[in-house]
Amino acid sequence: MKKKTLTIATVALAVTAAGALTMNATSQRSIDNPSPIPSISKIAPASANNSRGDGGRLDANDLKLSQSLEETTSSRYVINDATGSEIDIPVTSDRAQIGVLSGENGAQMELVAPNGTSVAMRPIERDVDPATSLSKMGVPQNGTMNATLRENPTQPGVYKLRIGGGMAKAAGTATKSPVSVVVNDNNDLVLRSWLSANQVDSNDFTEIHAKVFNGKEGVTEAKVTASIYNEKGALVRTIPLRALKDGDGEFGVAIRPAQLGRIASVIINAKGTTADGRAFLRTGNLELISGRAGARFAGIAGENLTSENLEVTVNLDVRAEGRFHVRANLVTADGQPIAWAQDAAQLRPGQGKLTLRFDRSLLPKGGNVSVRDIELTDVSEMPGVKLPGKVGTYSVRGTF
Amino acid sequence: MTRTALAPMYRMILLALAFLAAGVSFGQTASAQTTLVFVHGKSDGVSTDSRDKVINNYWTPDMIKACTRNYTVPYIVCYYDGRKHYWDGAVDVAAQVNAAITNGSRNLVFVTHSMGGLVTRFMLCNADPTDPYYNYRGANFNRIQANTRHVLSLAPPNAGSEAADLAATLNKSVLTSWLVGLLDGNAPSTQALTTAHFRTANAQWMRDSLRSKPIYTVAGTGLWNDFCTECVGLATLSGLAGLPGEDDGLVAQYSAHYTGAPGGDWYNTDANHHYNRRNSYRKIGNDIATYGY
Repeated sequence: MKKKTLTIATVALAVTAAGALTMNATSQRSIDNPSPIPSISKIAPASANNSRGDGGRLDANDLKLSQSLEETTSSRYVINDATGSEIDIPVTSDRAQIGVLSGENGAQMELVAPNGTSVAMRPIERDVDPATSLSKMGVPQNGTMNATLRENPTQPGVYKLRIGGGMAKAAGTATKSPVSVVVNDNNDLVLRSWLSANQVDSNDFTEIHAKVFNGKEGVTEAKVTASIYNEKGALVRTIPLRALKDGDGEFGVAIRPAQLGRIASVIINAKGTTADGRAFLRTGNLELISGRAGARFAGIAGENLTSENLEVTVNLDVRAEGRFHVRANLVTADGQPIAWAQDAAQLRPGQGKLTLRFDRSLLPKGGNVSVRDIELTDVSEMPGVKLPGKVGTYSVRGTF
Repeated sequence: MTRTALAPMYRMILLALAFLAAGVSFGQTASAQTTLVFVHGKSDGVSTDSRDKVINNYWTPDMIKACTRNYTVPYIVCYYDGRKHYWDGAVDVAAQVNAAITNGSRNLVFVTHSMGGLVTRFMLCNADPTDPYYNYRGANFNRIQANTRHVLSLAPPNAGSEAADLAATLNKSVLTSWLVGLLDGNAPSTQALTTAHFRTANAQWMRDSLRSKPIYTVAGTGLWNDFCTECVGLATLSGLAGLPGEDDGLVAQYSAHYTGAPGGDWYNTDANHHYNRRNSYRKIGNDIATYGY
């Protein structure tokens, strides 16, 4: 037994040493601090697009932000709480990295490549050094973690993870603890997930979308599910996403985010096969913000041109007292950015008003501009919730 | 003595206590009104529940000493529960900074690390009356903005972290916290550090256009600085989480440098996320003292 332990320790040291050699090479490739470091006092201060606090010049990036969706991409997947003596691990690239954590001290793990060869894994110690680790929350006292070497190439195909390993299995000591597996394929087979809308009123609907891309092509042979967890981390439900358009690989489902709490999380799992026959798994995540908004959009009250501003007033029907915020963009007829403006106020139940004040000095001569991307948010709590009600584009009638 | 006569004395005592509580120190030959404000990042709460713990556990005394030019520049070391959402951390930090700037105006230069950069950014993005979360929960961000010169933000996950994404998809996130103790996915702070969260936040309450004060960012681009357990964990996490491009184990370069004007990219360092808050592997504290203000 002692001999076996010594052998394992020797292998572990050898693996670590191999990693150390690679570490040095990696360090040498890294970028060192520039010399000299630019002095902050000599960096020309870029002008802020916030000339007065309530608005300013709008640039193309800021305009683009107003159209952005909440979306994430992932080339990795996780298997939570896997049990059994052998687990299938599909790999789709030659540069994947695999990590496995068992809750059992000294758990034996053997990773076997598609061609049947045993794959070296590096033992990873738990981050327990009090001088370096700033958090012990949720970290178990027991466990064993191994990871493949990032630098070693992988074989596309299905790997086998044998829990308990050959020796332990022979001795009848297979681990009883479930294991967590993380695989990052690190390639262009990517799960893209997005929400049609976020910060939604809990009476409204939002849509969860997902699409697996193999390069630029959508993968159609897939099953996609979304698991929704409330703000306390409890699983509320797992729902399948259905194919939305023939042949392009987009999946989706509409949900009403009632009783999820302010910040819910959505875990998307995709399982399928690429057109060239590679089995894959992917896991993505989204954050879903919802709640009950205390007001509704009630229309644009009108515009007013003062010596300093183009003012556009927005009406609200306020149901519950709270703080409300409005932000919008002013653009030319062909969509070029001009200015942005915002207003916020504490409003009581009844009719409420918020006024956008676009800096008149930024307006183009002649007029023919419109206010768009009007976002009304109940910001009484953080993060806020968008007000229900259709908010369109407002064409400014006046000329300047 | 009468109660009226005692009042000024009480005020003086209260003022002194407020300074002590905020952990303010003033050097003898400080340059005019420049005051450094150190804002730490994620923690388990216990490791950062006092000024001394933050200095010793998070920044290290050598970093504070270097940044403050051998303690000749006044400084404030903030502390808060690093498990909280960054917006709640901002309320605590604002209270400490406001308590410390009672005697006249200052040129505050923030030195932040990791989530501390988001805490500070949230304050400065919500410091005007029409901002979405102006003076959130009664905190006086407006006064801090008025006293701020700029922010030096070390390794901030300004567009979120793919490592937090991975933590979010794991049951109880044991695997990620095994690798890097900081990354316990059950804490609200980790949940709000995902790239998904920042797709929304950066288009709403963290827009650059909401800020009038510059933020200068430093990105970490190295992994294997040495063989401390956290360094091994960071290097492993970088590969498993799939941080794109260069990264420091927790934060990708693109995310650290996400913020634009006012301010912008300062520089890259090959110190990883463990070392880019210290003055050891790379002399980041010396850089701040020489070039940062």
